[in-house]
Amino acid sequence: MKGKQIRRRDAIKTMAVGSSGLVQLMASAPAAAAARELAAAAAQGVVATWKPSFLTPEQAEILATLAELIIPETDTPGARSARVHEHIDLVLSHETGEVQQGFRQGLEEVDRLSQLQFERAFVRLSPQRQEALLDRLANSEPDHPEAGGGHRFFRDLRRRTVFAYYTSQEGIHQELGYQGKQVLAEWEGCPHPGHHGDED
Amino acid sequence: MAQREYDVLVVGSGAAGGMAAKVLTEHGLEVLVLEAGPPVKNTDFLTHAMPYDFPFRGRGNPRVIQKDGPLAAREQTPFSGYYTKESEHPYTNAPTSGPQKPYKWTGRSRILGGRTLHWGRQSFRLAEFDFKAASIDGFGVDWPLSYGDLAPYYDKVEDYVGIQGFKEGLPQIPDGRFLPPFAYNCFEHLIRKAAARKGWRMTALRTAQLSRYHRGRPPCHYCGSCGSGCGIGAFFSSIAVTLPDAAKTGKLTLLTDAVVREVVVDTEGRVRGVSYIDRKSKMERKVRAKVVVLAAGTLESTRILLNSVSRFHPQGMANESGVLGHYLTDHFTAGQVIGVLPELVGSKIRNDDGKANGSYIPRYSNLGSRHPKFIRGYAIMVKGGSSVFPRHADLIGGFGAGYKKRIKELHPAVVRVYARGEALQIFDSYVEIDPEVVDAWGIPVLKFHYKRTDNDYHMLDDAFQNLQELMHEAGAEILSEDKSLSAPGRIIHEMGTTRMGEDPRTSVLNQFCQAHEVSNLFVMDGGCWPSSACQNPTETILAIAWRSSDFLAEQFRTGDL
Repeated sequence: MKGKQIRRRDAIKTMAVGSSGLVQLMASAPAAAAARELAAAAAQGVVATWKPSFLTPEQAEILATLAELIIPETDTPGARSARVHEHIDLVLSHETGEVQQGFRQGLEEVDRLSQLQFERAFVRLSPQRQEALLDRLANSEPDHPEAGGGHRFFRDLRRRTVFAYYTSQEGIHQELGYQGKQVLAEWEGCPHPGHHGDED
Repeated sequence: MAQREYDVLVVGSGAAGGMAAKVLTEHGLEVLVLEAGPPVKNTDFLTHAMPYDFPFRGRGNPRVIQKDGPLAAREQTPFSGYYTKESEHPYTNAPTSGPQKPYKWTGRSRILGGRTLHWGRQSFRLAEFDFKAASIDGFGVDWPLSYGDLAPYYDKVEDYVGIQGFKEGLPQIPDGRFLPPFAYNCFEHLIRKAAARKGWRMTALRTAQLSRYHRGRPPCHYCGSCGSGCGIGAFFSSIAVTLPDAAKTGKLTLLTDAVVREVVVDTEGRVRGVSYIDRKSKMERKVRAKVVVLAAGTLESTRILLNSVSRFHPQGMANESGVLGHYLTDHFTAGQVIGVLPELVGSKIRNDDGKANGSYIPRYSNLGSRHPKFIRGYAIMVKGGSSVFPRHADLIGGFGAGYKKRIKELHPAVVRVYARGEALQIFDSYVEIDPEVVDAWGIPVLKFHYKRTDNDYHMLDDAFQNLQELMHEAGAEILSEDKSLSAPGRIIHEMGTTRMGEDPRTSVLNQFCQAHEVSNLFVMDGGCWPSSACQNPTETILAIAWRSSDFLAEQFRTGDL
């Protein structure tokens, strides 16, 4: 939204004019900003020393490789630099045993297929071969014996990757350039007169 | 506290309870509001937070989701009761079969302000014909009040609450006193033109969000975070509007963390107060009043009445008719189509979710001519544009750089249309007390028996076809289609279980929400609706609560209660 932005401090001042009665009116921006800083600080502390809490380091590397194949680096960051695998590992560490088991088996299956077809670990394949293998997984039938339930795993993997990437700073700001969650003075609406109808 | 006798005791602080508190205190009555949840302030809301501000990106810990449901697990609302925990507030369903889904009692809140903290804000008047639907098509009963009876209160509510929207001159959604409307997003202009070619008029959703300063409250600043509560009170909620006004009178006492168990009667069977459990200590206490107003939400008010068994009221309070708990309905979503508008593919990503709402094609069925297969009708909701998360990513195939590019290109172009229909109220859809199960405070819970009617499925056939035609007319590329009815309860517009009517043998309340059976008991929430129309209910709930509270105060003054 291109509408005029108000500086946050001014916005809070403006809003306070309306304060009355039981409820003290104040923008909640400070609370959100504090939460954001906290999360950023926590994340920075973790980044250098990250260890997976659910996956083995080897499985985490398979996951990071797969996630980067799904959302690769282009002119904007990809899944690996958005640390998608770290978020997926965190979520997995709190899932039920059944879900955890299913995901772990999916990763192991990727390596098994890689050994079967190319006689190498998945993470050591060339990017072209990795992509070919993922493509095979994506297009396999659900529960196809050869693919070992690959299709379902692919859907799950892609859903988790998409969620983790597009909820990251990289996904929201650098890739999509989403402009929301701001304090705007006015709602401009559609800026293209060609889209508007003949108003009656 | 237990010794003091209040004039009126209001159970619940949501839309109806907040309005009752405001109106009754302004009439000079001493009012105690009991709220089952904790207090909350506007400043508690994390309205401008981004998903990455939270460990689980806002969605919540899977373990908490499993235990307490996805709503209670949400991280943007980190306070107790904003959404209730399923583990503490169980309910049961009778077995269902076939396409019938069990009732899903979702979206519940136990917190000061109740569901007004996160409601959808959509505000429509019912039509004149909605109040006499039975006379028109022969199904069910007419309302015991007319549009004319309620119209002055719709005016008052709109003036007071502040509702933005366009005047359209359509009898299905009568015009009112609106603030200037929010401008349309791109996708809304395009769908609006397509709807016009189908002969339908699309209008922006009328919402209780301020488009300018209104009665001391600041306007919306378009952060699009309404679902997490409003930090500045720019949309209507009890804590931003009605409760502060009630407090200003000096007549309001507020008691939070008070979980009401039952209505208490005197030796003649008349209401003399309620008993409640202190949420934290779990101690049972009583509080007295000359009049009790239940406004705990349709199903919680009904549950309190069903649990209020005494020798005077052996089937529960206000249940001589045997209809208490029956005629349960919720609006339903009848089909959904998601597509992409080619004109918008690849356009700049903005923040189409900033105004936090979409558009609306009002009901067109059974207005002049009669549909051969179903009665009543539905409206079409139009949502879309770019938002913080590209939900369409799961609806397109592939992976890699092309997939990533496609997600971005489609983001501003995605449109979702779905129908919102009226479910008929039938005796066989009902709640009762499940004697086997109690909640975390030891109070017996509700058991649901819900039955869809054939009318619902015929309406779905018609709605789905029209949704497809609308998207076709707009030239949309379809991403997904879903021809199904939402689970009952899913729309969180529960109604009907304490229906109002002229005949005490077939209804619980009179037209002023006063129990036929006990004159000093009122039930002012959505439970009173004897038919549910298809418009969002809150504005009508507010208007009815205001009108009923005026009546209550007048009766109190003349000593008729």
